[in-house]
Amino acid sequence: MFGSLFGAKSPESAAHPLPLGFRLGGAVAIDDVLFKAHPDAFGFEPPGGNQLIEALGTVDLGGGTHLYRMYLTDDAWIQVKTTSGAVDDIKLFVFSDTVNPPNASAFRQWAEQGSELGQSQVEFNGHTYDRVWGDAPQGAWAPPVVYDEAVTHPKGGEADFELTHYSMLYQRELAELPGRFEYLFITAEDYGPDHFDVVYSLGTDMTIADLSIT
Amino acid sequence: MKRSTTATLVLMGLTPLFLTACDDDSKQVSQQNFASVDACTQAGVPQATCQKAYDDAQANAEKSEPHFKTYQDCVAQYGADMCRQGTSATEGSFWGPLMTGFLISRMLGGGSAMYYPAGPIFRQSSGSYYSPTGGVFGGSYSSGSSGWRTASASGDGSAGGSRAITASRGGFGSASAAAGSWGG
Repeated sequence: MFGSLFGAKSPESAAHPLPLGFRLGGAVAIDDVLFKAHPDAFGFEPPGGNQLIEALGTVDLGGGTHLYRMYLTDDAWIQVKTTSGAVDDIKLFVFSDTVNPPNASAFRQWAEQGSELGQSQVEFNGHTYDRVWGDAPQGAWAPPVVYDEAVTHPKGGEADFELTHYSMLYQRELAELPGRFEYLFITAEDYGPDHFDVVYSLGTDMTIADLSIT
Repeated sequence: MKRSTTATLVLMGLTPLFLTACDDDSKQVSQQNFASVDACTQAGVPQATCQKAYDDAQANAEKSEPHFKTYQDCVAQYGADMCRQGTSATEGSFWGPLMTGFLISRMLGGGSAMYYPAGPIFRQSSGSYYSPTGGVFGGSYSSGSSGWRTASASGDGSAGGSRAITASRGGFGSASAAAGSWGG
């Protein structure tokens, strides 16, 4: 409804079809064989059954690279990264924890020097994760990566909005599954002067074969 | 984006608007805010000017700062621990924000730079700054010659950007990190 006030912004997704045949309002089922076979390996479980794509987040990282985040029915999301239109990374993330800073000042500290968000290692749910991004030396703090995400919903649904992320990616190699990584994605989400939170998500790599997209 | 998070109306634009203030082609006025005299001298401003700017800002802070009737009103705009009580002959008791720095104006012209004190600044809880002379502007404390920017034109008190964090993106990790490896 605000589109008419501020000039409707047609999201990129409307102009170009989503990668892999995903569509807003469509569904996806995630193959859970890997998780069933190794019940103790992961710190999270994938959402079961057919999951509706209830919202779509798009991020333009520049240089022809885009992120598409398909937000699913059960607090989970699939992220597809494309470069020049070609898919080069697919990940499943499950929301694991949310922190609600009491005020804007406390929130800002999450993006500032010395915050947990940017440490070279983070402990989460009993596991240690190593930082993936940033070229700060081991032990030193690396500033979070900042970018904007535009979130759209199916027509007639919730209002679309934008937010700014301050994110850092962490990973640990699973002892039970050498070569397989579990990711810890921490992001400070800035929706507005009085609206923000910090979200922890756990995830792992997916292939096209793991997804049934309808 | 947490799915259960309520959508918010986000106003247009991510960056505060700065307008160029030019007297004429040969003179350009820009401003920079400093948290301390040291930071000020490090940016190339003469020590005496920095000290005077700081002293004047201190002396004028109470006069020029926003005054609130209640502590709560002040905290709402400037944040906890950033408000103190003051008194004046005309108003009686009031609450006002603590000065968090001072502003210096730089005028470039004729091949040299001149610096002038431009009053105190107060950091708002939204992350932007309020200057009694320059209005509200965003951005973090910057130092170095690159920190000079043209004077703010946004004088309305409702500003503060459309985000909780309004610091320059220069201080954060590059988006190219996220465009590159997602681990593994």
